[in-house]
Amino acid sequence: MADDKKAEKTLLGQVLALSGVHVENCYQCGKCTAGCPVAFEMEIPPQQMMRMVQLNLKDRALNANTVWVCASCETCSARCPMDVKVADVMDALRRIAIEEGVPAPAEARTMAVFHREFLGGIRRWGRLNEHELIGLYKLHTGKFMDDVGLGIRLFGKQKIRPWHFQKVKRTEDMARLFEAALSGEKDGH
Amino acid sequence: MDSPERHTQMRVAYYPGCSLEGTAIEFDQSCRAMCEALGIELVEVPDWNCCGASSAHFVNHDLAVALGARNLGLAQRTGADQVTAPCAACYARLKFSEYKLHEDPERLGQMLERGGVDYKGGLRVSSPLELLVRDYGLEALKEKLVQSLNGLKVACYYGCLLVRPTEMPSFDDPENPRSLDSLMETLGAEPVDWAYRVECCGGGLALGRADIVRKLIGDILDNAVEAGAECFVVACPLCQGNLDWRQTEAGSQRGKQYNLPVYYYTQLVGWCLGLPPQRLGIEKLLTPATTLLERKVSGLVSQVSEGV
Repeated sequence: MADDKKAEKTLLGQVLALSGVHVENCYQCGKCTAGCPVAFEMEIPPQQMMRMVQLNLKDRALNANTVWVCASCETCSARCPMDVKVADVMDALRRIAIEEGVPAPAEARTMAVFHREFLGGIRRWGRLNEHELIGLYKLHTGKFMDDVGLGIRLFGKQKIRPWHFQKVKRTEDMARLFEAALSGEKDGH
Repeated sequence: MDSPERHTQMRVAYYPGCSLEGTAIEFDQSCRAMCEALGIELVEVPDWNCCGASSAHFVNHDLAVALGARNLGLAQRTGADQVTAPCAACYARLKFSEYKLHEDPERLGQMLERGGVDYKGGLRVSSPLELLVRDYGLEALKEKLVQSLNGLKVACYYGCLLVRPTEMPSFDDPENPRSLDSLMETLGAEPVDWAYRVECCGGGLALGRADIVRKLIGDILDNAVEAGAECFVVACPLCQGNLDWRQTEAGSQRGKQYNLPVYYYTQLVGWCLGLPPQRLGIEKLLTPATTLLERKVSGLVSQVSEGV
């Protein structure tokens, strides 16, 4: 029991508790990195991230931009010969970073804002309203001029319809579901 | 084997998802029109909620499973034994929830109860592509076609979430999927042989990191053009949006002009079923998409297939 507690304190143990993935099985073949479409943009590529989890190099792993530029395409998980679900490990690392207050690196901050506002929208309305998400994203990142031309074209095609706002009937149910899901956060599994 | 009676009795719960009410509205229009023409009854899931997309599992797996499972519970109330989700991301998330249902049923039950729903499992989650290829059958579809794509050279782009995550049972091969190719052949098109069919377009990075998306779709576009493609066919609103909306930007970065329309497969099936383009939302695609189809139209499919 005492050993279990000690193991959970390590990054390897935390990742196992959150994702069920045994990162110790990774033998560094590099297939995840070879197939990763965004490895070119990552400060630490996927297979090195796996090694850092094995070695409990938490600060380096969480402070890299890697988890924030991961596109969640699942190619790494699909191709791992040792069945290490690399994308699930990325999810777990991201969650640890958020819960322990490790901020996303500057150029990856936009993605942290995106996910936060995306989930905020679903929590409020039960459904995503793309125009609201775009507005809040711009507000919180200051990127007001990005994609303005594109936005106008989409508006012209009536693919963005500001007058169309969607939500579930009982938004309070969604808030309660979120609360129940997030309240177990500290327990792991 | 495929009696028409059976098809008229197909009744499926329909999960449109958030994008199909917004920027991917033509995917919704064309999917509904296609199913109506084929006699597949779609019953919209009452009061459905967002599947959570990438953002939910990005930060909390329990939340991701619960969001999907609430929809499954609501879908079951329609009395249908299968729920179909056109968006590849919604499809993957709903399927994932069904797959993870029994991992911690007690905790999930608690979460769902708060969300006002009860679900114990048993629904089949499908993509309308699967519905067409596996349930309806391409032979039966062929009988309903009134026009052919007549050799249209198309790059079938599966992307990520139609075939991954691979831990779940899938209707197609994750590395070399064929369903879209078979469907396009049935419509009289010529799928090109190309390398980027299951590569990622950048998906949800579109808003936060458009620079990455431009690089990824530039590679995808180059490979498709090299293989001789005149257009793409896709099954995901994110793939469609990234390839279509950012095509000009990616082109100007590389000093090229691509002009490859990016169709949803439901639009192309609908077109060959003779449905009016307005009902399929073809004019809503940013890269001009109608002229190419009009140029390819010629006569009945039966004449074409004899020639093949």
